[in-house]
Amino acid sequence: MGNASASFIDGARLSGVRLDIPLPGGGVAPAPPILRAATVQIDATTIAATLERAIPEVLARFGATGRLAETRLVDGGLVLAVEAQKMITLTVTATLSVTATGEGRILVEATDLKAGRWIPLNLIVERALGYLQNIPGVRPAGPRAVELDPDTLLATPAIAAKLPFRWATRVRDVRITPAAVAVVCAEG
Amino acid sequence: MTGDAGITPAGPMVEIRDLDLRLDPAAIAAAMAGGPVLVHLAGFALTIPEALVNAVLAGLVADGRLDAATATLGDGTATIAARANGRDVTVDLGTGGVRIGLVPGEVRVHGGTMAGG
Repeated sequence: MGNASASFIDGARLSGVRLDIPLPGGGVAPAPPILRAATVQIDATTIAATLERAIPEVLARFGATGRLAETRLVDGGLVLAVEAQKMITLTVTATLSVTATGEGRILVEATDLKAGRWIPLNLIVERALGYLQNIPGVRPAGPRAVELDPDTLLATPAIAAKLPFRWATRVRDVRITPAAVAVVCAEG
Repeated sequence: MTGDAGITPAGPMVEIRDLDLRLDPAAIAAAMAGGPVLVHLAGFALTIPEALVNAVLAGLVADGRLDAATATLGDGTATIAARANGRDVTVDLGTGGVRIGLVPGEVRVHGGTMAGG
């Protein structure tokens, strides 16, 4: 797997990429490149900026408004605090552990969840999991965990149509430090 | 575009390895704002299999430009054995290998034993 963070710079880096490019022949349209391996590294600032944009969109799907109040990477995961308004205003703080399952999937588990004392947190989590399991490639993996299957997620027509490659690799490792996230994908 | 680790297309392929792309924070901010995307290409290695070279030669044969042609790539060497207009022709690259250079407006490929800069 190598030391993915050894030469990391600020921003995002795609390294160790292996692409096979099929060649067109006989009037057949060229097939997209086949991605066999890659390591993606994204620094903490970029992760935070991405989540700041994504959280309001996710809340809107629940008919709520809100914002990301805090986010930071920690070893093995990230801490999020989300302020949401829907009839009431509440702040939910979650510590999410992110790991590779070994079968090419990614396990995201809330290891610590906090909200106001009288907030029905279990009900909120149940609703969130119910929403997430309707997304192809996302399935509950415990009372506070979901498993992401990149094979299925990336095969979703809306996503696959925009991908400039065919996904033929497996997530082998997810490394999160306070500085960056690294996802290592390898063949087979 | 589906996930399938076993994708094996028919025919020769060009392989790109060790591709290294970087986006600095300013580039990411610009991309997120819907602006142009600037990607820094930090490195790559391109592998062209002998089968591809032969596929190109086969195309020349199919077009009738050559009667027959076969390329053999060795360690820093290349030999193309062809037949054109009923005559055998052998092109021997020698031991010079191939070097690629970039100059303003051009990609230059140098090959052969005596190839200069």
